[in-house]
Amino acid sequence: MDYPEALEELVESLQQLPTIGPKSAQRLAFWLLETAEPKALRLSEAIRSARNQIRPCRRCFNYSDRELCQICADPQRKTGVVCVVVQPKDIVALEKTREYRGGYHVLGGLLSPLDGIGPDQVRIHELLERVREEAIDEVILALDTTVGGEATCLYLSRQLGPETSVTRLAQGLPAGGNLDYTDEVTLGRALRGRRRVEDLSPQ
Amino acid sequence: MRISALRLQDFRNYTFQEVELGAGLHVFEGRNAQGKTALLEAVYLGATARSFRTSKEADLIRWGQPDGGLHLAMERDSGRPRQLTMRWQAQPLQRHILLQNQPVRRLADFLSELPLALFTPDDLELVQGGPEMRRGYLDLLLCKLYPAYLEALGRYQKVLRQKGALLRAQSSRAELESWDQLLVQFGSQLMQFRAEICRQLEPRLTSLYAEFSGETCILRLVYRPCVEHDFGETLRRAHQEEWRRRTCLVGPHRDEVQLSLGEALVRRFGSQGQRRTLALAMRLAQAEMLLEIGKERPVVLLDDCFSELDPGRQARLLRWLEGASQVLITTATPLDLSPEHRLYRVEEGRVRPC
Repeated sequence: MDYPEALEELVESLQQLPTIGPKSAQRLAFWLLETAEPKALRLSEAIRSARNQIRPCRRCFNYSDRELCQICADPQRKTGVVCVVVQPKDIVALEKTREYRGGYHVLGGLLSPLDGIGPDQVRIHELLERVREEAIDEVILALDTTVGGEATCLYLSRQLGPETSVTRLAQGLPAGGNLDYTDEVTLGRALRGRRRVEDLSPQ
Repeated sequence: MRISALRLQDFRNYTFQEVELGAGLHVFEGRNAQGKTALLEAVYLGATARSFRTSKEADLIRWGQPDGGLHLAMERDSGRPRQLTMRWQAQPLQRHILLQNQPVRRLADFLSELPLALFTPDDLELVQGGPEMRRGYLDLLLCKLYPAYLEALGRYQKVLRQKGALLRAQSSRAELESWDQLLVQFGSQLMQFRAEICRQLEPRLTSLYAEFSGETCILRLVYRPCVEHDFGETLRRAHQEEWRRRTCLVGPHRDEVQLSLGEALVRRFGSQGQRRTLALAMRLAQAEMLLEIGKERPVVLLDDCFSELDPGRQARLLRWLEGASQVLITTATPLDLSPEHRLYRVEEGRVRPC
């Protein structure tokens, strides 16, 4: 049996969402039909208003409902230091640490010639411009440890030049992790990046 | 390590088959296309997660079936049992590996499980084929021995593909240096590992070759890396040329391993008999190294190549095989084996002990 056209359209559009397969899409579609109308329409209204109101921050390209995002608009944040991430999601993760008080810059992707993504397809020019205009002297690269992440780090550090301090996040053992559960690649990096015990005082 | 039982279900031409195996020599006899090699293929998959016959995993499932797989009951040299299950699903094509009933998430975790040596008639290509055959030979050995090599090789190949795409697209030349830097980082690791393994391989190979050929010529195995000195500098110098020819010209993906007897390169000047013996010696050396560093005694698979050796070499090979934990041989013609061995007949996807 075929679904009525409108139902089929609903199932198919749900199926476009990441992590949603045909079975889940069907389940969600039926729920949306069977639940009280205001509850179902709340979703469509939420999608519409998010699409209308949320835009990239003019300065850092984080999602925002104003010209400047919450972080860029906050006078308490440190200036002169920027943390580069791939996507707005990463900012949320870093903010949870409550350890970083500087600004951010969302690249929007990593270099990947195989996918046709070069320096012009991600926001590298915008970053270089910001570094110049906002007198940023420290750039922290918080990118994936994949090959694409590494290449992007190397490219950025070359473009930023020696007058900017460019660092990237350390790699090693997870906090509270057991040594014997750690894979050998991570363990090898942790070994190479080991530190003197007297430097380990809590900060 | 040895395999105590092999179970196949909808694998190749087998509907369902269980084979009990012991220590020592096992001979699977049968006409062509009856399923002899599929038995060895199943064991090989259990050791490497790859087939030596096909790159299309869908071919492993019995024709028309939704899924198929294999189960290996193994026994360590210590006597401790190990269980390995591999299943393939046809649509969409999926592979599931269970070691001790636990899903295997990283290939590296199970590649060191079952040490194994395989001999096939195609091994001749190790000697007379292109350099990629010999690189593959080193890679297989190194991946089995060192997880760090597996990691570096995977990353090197990813960078190489990205750089290749960049050279073809001719989009941003400034980006090239970043990829080159990574190529140097991972490629240098590969070269170090390869140089070291070649140093360890050569004496072993020389003595194995001498033993099997009875020749007095000295066999030499020399690692010829594509880059002899400063990788980074060589890449910089090749920059123009690479950009113009739109392809990656420099790096360990173009390494060669040179095999020579006396002054002559075996690949170009060796006789058929010399090449065959050398290919055998290379496989034996590989097995010995896995044995030495890997602690467990290996399983040896001989696919249809025993009968191609002359009686003297057969006898020497049998003597060498005494050191293996378990040997599985397939043959189309009856073999005249003096030591104790178990014989099985293979016919139309059925195996029965004789």
